[in-house]
Amino acid sequence: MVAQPDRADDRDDRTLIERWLGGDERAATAIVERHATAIARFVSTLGERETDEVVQDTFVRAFSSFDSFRGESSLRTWLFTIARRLVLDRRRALRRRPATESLEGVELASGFTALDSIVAAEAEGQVREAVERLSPTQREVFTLRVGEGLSYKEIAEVVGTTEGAARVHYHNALRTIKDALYV
Amino acid sequence: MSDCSNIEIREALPELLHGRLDAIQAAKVREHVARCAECAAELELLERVQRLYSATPAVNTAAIVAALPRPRTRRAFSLGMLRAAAAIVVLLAGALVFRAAMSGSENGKNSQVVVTPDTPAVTVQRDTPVTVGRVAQPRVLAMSLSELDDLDADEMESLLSALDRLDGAPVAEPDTLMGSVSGIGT
Repeated sequence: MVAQPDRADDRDDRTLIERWLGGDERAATAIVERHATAIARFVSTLGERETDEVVQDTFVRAFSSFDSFRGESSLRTWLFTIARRLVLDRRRALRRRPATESLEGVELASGFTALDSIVAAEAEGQVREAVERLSPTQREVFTLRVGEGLSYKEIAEVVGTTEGAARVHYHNALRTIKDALYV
Repeated sequence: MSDCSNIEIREALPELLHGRLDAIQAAKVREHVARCAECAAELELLERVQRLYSATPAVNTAAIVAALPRPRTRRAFSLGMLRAAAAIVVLLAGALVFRAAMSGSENGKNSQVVVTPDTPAVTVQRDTPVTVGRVAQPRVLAMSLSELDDLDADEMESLLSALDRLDGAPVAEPDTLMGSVSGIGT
């Protein structure tokens, strides 16, 4: 069973990009409004504390490179890819800093903090804890699949892996969450 | 919680959640979920996770837009292209000037006149037609054949003597120049 690609959304994105490249600055607002929330959500699930900053940097980098955007993937997938790279860069930069606190502690704390800010109810808290038990890659794939509805092909593009590997990560993540909630 | 053995349906559950299935596929999945406890539980779990993710951090759209670069409007000739063209023109002009200067220097070498004692000094003035070449006895050569009949014997003998003194015809056709020649044979 194959999901239907969201071609209308992709066409709208391409139209907006063309308008912006042609000098229409209002198109920038439309593009940001369409995707900022999803990017912020994805960035927060990666355990990034400075979500606003990463989301802004993602759009700045994307808008600086629209000339080279060939539309082979959807704009949202491309934005996810940029955001993920930025998060990884920030983590690498953090590792290079003199260790004033445990790196492991920083990453763990940032992950919980990001989710703490978006989860309140107890039932959701249980799901949150289950998601927190996932490995970083499993969480990333699971978030893109369930949270954003990306196909395995799109997830593979964002994460930099194969469709098959993305599928395995998703099912392993789902198994881990089920075990955490129902055992 | 066990998993349903129908992997195709399970794979379609996230797609159903996000409305990415067409009507026929969506109906097929819903029909299966309605009679499959495992898939119903899995879909319910996925919906809970989706709600978790839908609690979104606030995003300041205006701040993001304000930080974006300005669109680079597409012009027939951008400022950068015009600058590049101007630079090329300047370089070409410089090369031409340099080449002309070098060429002038070369000509200067070739145009040096080697003056020997046997070489007559020649001064050419423009706008005056002249004939360059050996001019021998112009007075005699100006005569026509019909005038020969009017010569007496002495004059004829004098003419023949003059002809005898000539040491041949000009080596080359005389060149006609716009100028005057003076000092030949000095």
